[in-house]
Amino acid sequence: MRRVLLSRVLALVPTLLVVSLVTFSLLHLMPGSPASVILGPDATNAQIVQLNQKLGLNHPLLVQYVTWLSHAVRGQFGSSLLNGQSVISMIGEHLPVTLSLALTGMLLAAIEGLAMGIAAALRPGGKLDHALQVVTSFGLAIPGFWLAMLLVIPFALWTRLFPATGYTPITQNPIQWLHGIALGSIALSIAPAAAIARHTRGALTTTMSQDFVRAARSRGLSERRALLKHGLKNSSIPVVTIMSYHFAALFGGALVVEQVFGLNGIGQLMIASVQDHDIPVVQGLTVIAAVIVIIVNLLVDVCYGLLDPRVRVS
Amino acid sequence: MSLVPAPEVDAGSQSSIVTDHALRRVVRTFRSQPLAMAGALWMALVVVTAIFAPWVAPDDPNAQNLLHVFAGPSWHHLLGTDNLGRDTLSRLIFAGRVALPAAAIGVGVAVGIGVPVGLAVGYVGGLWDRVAMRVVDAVLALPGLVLAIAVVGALGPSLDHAMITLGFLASAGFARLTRGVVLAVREQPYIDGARVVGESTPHILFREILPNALGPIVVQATLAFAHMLLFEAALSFIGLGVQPPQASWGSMLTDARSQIGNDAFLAVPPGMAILLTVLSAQLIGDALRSALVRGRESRGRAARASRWRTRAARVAPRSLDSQPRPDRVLVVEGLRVSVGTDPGVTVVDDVTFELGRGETIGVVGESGCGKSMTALGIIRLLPTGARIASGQVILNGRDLLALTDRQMDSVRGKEVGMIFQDPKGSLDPAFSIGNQVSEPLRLHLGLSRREAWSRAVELLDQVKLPRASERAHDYPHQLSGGQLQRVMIAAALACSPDLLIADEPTTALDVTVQGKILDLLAELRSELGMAMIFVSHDLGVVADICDKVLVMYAGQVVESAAVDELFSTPRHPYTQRLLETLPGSVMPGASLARIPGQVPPAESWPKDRCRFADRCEHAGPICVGEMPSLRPVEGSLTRCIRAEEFRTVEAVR
Repeated sequence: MRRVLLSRVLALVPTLLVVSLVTFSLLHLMPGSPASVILGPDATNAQIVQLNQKLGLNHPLLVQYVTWLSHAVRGQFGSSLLNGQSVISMIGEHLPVTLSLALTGMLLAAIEGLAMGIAAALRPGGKLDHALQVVTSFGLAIPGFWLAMLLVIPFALWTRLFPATGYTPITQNPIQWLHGIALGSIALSIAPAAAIARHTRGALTTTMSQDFVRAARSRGLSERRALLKHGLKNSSIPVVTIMSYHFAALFGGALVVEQVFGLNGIGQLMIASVQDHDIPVVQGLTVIAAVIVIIVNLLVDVCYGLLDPRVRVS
Repeated sequence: MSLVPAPEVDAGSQSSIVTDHALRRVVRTFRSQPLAMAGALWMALVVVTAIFAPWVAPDDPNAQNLLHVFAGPSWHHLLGTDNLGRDTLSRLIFAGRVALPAAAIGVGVAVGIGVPVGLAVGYVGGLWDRVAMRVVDAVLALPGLVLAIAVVGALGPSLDHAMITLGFLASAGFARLTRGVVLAVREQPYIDGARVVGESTPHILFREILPNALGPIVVQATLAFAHMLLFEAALSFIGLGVQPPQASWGSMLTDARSQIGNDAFLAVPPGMAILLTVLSAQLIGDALRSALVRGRESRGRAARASRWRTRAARVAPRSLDSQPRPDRVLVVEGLRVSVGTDPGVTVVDDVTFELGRGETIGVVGESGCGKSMTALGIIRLLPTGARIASGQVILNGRDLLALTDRQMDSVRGKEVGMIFQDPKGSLDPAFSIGNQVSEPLRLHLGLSRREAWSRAVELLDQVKLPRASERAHDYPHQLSGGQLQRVMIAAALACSPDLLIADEPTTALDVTVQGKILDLLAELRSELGMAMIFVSHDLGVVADICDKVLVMYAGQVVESAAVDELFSTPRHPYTQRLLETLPGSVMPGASLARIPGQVPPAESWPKDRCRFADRCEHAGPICVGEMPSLRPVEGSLTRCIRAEEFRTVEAVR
């Protein structure tokens, strides 16, 4: 188990390297000199020199990268070019909203997806199976932010069951917190839920044709019981894999869904920073988003060990 | 909205070549699938109206009319107008000119980079391949939308920049897919041939290998197109795509969002446009997959084909023909199993036998003679596609074939236990062996988890698993095949069933282990007094453990006799042949006999003549005149019409 964990952590190195390279190069992707783009056409030479110094742009590229990386691993992404606030503290302010949406959405997606997948697999080819096939097709095609708007109209505008906007920190009032992010999380959950449902159904039908399921049935387990015990546990690994895979997409979707509810999360910060060319903030956000996704994937990898005794006991 | 379609199209397992033939398959698929056709038509509509937007659109998409804001759908404005009085339908049509090219750019970049990279690293292999695949995994794990937004932040707001970034990230998926196909075909003889002839590497890559990957690539490209449409909509929605007043489906939703309190309907048309177009792309992709990627279809069929079927199909509960005899544990009468759609092919034909308490019957014959089907039919666990066509299976006076599924569930594991050929595959790798032995105890005897566990340990001890109390916590992969079969036996006998069905229980085991398992079975049988059906193709094993023997050939019982009788005087030439294959029956130095020929497939089993006649050295004209019936000859039952003559011939030998 420890060895598995170690190899998973080592496998993260290339991912982090790709992230750091992409993020670092953002500054240099800018057309023209970064400083002139950031400062605009009216900048004086002195201002440009000063900014270059501040951003470390007068050093060789490799030195710049190493310096940037050594700061980044310590969570130092510099300060905003706009208001001088430290990037990491800005992210810290905006992150809880987005994380609340994304994690709640993922939890919902897992529940909805598993439920639909199991329901479909109980009777492959049955009416429910066909109906869920249609439902998941729509689920995969519907844009999350549009679905959020469609939820807002009846549940927030017409009936006022849920707030159309506003976020309460979970530490302040968990009920209100949930109330505030409910519609957004539901909207976000649909696409990954559809994908999880399809994979669950597929994995379950494959598992149910295994010899050990027949053997379990020969001991008197009903088909349903065999599916819920042997089928589900053996299907959990492909299903968990697909969950981690979809978290990255869901996190990106959360940035967009925030806008529907006017929530002041990572998405808001990112859009504002992009429009203002506030590159250090953009860099910090990119790295943090990638790291969050990577951490979730790592947690999923740890789940493998818990799910598969062949990995756990070695 | 994930960056790349989930790895459903896994490479390697399929290969397809896009030819005229493939094109015809595609056309046929779309014709036979109305949904796919609808998707294709919608996509065509969107594309055509986008191209000819200036002529097709009823209005200038940006023409404002402040006197007609928030107009609902009307004859003039089929989908109404927005907050500036602009015609929604016209804006939708013009928005297609944004979405479609943007998605095409994304897919184009993804294919343009991913496919050559996949071809190259798959072909070169080695370190390059490993490094590239690491990078591919890394890229696929990234939140694509976030990176696309970040790049827009650096390069300035432009939809093209974002789509190129997304295409670049999605190329990782295409690289992986292409590489998989390359690995699958790289070692094919015709590729070697091309190499030997001296074809250049680019020629081999693009002319010989690439065509194999085209099918999967086209499918993945279609699905990626759907994802790119969603990305475009999201980017435009948050204001990082096209800039106003130019319309895009996403930016129309931004307007709708700001006016949601005034006119909720504004949100409907653009969202529907996105939904339907994305859905169409996915439907087209699914149809292309079933037309172009052969592997998937057959894989799906295989998965469906072997789900264990428990229903006794349309067997009317008949009154028992014979009086229930208390000393008979099991009476099987006229059991017939068929496979395939009605009427299907009969694979077990009119099998009849009885079993007393503590008695063991051996069922022998070559592979494909219906032995296992008979066993699975009795416990009603036939694979899907196979069903019991007629017959009775009376266990303790009750016809199992007349029971409901639920009633049958309470019979399995309690009154009938079963052990299988492959103990490794028959135990769930994800649960400890103690758990699996506990299963029937908790289910049938209602024991608590703890009680069942300690009983399971006793049972494991009883089947002579060393250090049973510790090993109960072990998982199947930690045990040897022989030990696993002991575990299977413990689980099957947990509730002391009256009948144990052993389907080739020693075939998959080492010879040294075989004997021990047989000894264990014999010992437990005399201890517990259960009856046993012992399926085997090995007559030698049967001689050791069985009281009587059922010899099956081509789905039929051809001989049934007490074990001593059968071995001393076989009354069917097939039995005779089987006996001759036993190592003990030949003189030292002589080679082992094999039965010439093989069991024909079930579809070609004759109905009006002896099924063994073609392989029988004793066969005469009489054998092919009619189907011989099972008849008594001096205490045995035989299906040989010439049993008496055949015995005399053999006696002379």
